[in-house]
Amino acid sequence: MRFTYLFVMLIIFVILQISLRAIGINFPLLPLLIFYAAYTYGPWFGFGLVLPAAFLLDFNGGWTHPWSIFGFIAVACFAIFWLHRIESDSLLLLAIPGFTLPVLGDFPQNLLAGGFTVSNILNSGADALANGVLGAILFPFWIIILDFFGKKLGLCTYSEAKERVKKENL
Amino acid sequence: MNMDMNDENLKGKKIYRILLFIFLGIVLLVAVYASLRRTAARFSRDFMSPFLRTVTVTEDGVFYAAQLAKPKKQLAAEVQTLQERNLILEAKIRTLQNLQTENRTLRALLKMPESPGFTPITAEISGRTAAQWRERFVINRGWADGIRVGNAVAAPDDSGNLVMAGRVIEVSGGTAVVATVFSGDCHLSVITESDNSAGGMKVLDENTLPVVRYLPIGGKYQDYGKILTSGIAEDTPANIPVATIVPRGKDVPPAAIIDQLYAEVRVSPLIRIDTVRTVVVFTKNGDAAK
Repeated sequence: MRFTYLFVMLIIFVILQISLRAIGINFPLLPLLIFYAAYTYGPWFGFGLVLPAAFLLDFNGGWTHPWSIFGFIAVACFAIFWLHRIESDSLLLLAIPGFTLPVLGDFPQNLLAGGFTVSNILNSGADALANGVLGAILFPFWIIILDFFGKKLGLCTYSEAKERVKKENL
Repeated sequence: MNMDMNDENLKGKKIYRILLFIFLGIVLLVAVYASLRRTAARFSRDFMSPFLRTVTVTEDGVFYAAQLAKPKKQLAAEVQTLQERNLILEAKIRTLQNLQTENRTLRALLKMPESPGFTPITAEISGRTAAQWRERFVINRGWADGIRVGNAVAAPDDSGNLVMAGRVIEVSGGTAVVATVFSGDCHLSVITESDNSAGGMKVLDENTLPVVRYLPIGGKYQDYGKILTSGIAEDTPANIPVATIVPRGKDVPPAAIIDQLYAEVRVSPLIRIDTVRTVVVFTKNGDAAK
């Protein structure tokens, strides 16, 4: 069921991100999904999403190479770090991954695809910063939405992930 | 002692084997990457194309629904204008068809090969990225619609005239990737409108404007002179406006002479790439889907 849920969410997020990009709004949604999958369902699901997400997003955006792989791997690694190293999960603290994910998941591939020129670094940097701020605000809402549907399907939620890890470690 | 040495030997062999496998894996991945990438790209685009087409259909639906909010009088006036425009276009097509038939007959009389015809296909942009916003985009038509690599792509400029937008560089079943005239992947054979001097247009650096090279030294080049497609390449129709010549400065001719061999001009493409939504792809007759 987790696989099906993530697959459906992947398609929805890819459509959303590509459609938003086509009208000029560049907000990286897929890093949020990869983070959620790696954090809530475990590293296999997070890393398993990296390849299909990068392929679907990059090739449908017109890129020749799936550059997003590098950023998405970094996001999955960050999720595991966040799950195992950070103790508190207050709403305010969620702003940190909310800010980090769009930067990690979008900035490197924009540099790789667009080239290491001053204008591209400035443009991508400004984009990443704006997306980071927006991500910090929106991240808790995304978690609530993903948890809502996950719960309806009887899947474990974001808030339960830490408890699960603690139990496993005991 | 002997046991320890054997263990170390076995460990060493194991590490050696693992490293060898990793090395072979990397070599294999590099070797098959190009074909793997192409297959993955085609599969990904074809898999997503029905979903993305649904988004386009929905957008169109919303647009038509919004039209209904307009006053009836305004809609009637718009319909009237469009009908008149259609009539004029119909008349123009008839004249062109006559010319085409005449051209075909004359070519047959002169025993010249028949010129390739083109079938225009409209397509909508389904994907583009911020990093390569001006350089490339994906359209929602592909191989099944008769689109092939190399097909010319045009789009309306600010005043609604059709101008060159780019060239198809990759095709899958239901989508195609277009490299725009701002991309280093788009090379065009062009002529000047003033005296038909032929040259090749390419982008040397994607942060600067394209240049037209290999123009004859004796050609007439004016500031803001128009550059058109030459039609030499068999997959590009002739005389589609592409760009205008950019002045080099006051009292300086727009063309620079390179190595006393050819003239070069910097050009500014006519297409307003940031706002393009719908494009026209020129497929060669015979390739177009029936």
